[in-house]
Amino acid sequence: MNQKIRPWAVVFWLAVWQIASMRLDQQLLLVSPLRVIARLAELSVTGTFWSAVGYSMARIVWGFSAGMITGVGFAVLSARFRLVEDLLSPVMLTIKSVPVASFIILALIWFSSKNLAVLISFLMVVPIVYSNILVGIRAADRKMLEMAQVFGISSGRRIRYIYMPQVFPYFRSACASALGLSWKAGIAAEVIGIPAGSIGAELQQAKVYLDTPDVFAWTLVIVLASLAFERLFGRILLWCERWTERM
Amino acid sequence: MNEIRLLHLEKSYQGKPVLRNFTAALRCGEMTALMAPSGAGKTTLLRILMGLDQPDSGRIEGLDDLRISAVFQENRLCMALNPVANIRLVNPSRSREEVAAALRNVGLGDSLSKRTSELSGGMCRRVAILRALMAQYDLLLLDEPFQGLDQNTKRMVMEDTCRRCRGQTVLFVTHDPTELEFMGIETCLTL
Repeated sequence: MNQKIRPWAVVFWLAVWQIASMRLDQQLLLVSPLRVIARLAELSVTGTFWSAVGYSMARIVWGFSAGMITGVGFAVLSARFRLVEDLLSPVMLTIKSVPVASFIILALIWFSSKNLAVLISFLMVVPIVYSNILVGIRAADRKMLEMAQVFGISSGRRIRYIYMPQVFPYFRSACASALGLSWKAGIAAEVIGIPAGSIGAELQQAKVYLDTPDVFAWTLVIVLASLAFERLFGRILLWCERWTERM
Repeated sequence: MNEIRLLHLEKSYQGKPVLRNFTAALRCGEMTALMAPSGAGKTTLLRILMGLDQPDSGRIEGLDDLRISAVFQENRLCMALNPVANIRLVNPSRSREEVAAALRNVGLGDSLSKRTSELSGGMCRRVAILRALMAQYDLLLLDEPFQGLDQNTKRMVMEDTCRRCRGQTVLFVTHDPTELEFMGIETCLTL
């Protein structure tokens, strides 16, 4: 999540792309970065653009958040009750193993495509968060838990000052994997389901008309939206981490 | 009840006996020492008194509903919290000012707002001792509390501990007879 991106490295790869595009001289196959930026500027002044960004972002963030809460909740229950863990193990294994395309097609058969990205993002996030948090809870220092028991520290304080700091590295790692995956899978679901007014539908339309600048421009939008959400979420995590260090 | 009675306590781990028919009494409002060689079962006895382990046989009378405080062999501090927060974690009714004054008294005045992870081993030990002393308790268990402290610091912390423990029920585990003498402990149990 905190991987540093060096500006010079970005400039280097943009230059490679620009040169490759100029050499190939086939805008249909490989559009230049300058053309992509120009197209993005054109799109960004339209209302449809912002409504598509808002539509997809809201659903992916919704699916991610619901998946995170469910994953944490299930992990806490599994750590506490063996029966819950036994019950959930095959479900989590199935979600991890089944190809995302199968889920998308099944979801399209069962429901409308409107909230498809919510369901798919949710399904991508739950098993990752669940397994990481469960490992984190299990790895909690028993000696610290004994200390809390002897001093009769309240449950709320135990969670905030003893469990949370120990589980946080696992949670951070889960979120780093789940965030990117929820965007990729969410947009893939929209491309297949084509819900009206979504980024996925715009991408699909660009593909149908072989509008390569649009494909690249929308892809860039997805990357930027994903990065923006990652940054925002990183801030929230940092705030939560600091909260466990304050009294 | 004027005392806590430990009656015929036995405990084995994986078939190896650690405590054998241990019987003793801790007088309430007094400090009692427990001296024994390593591996004799001192920590096991403390764990039973803390309620972390159950004896295989025997019973303890007079321990029900007592609030327990302890200095463990390890410090068991929250490393992300500062010393004041570590102490207030076990007893939120203590004010920040009161805790800070107590920490200054054992030479930790410069470390009040530092994360515990930034403190030395000896400093952490002092925080762990003060945490136990400032908790609300009826029985205080000290498992070799002064280990790892240099002579001057040890003297300062022992004086502070003596003052704070006066009139309290304390079980003090140590290897060092000079500590007993310094603390003025007359009753000494052996295992």
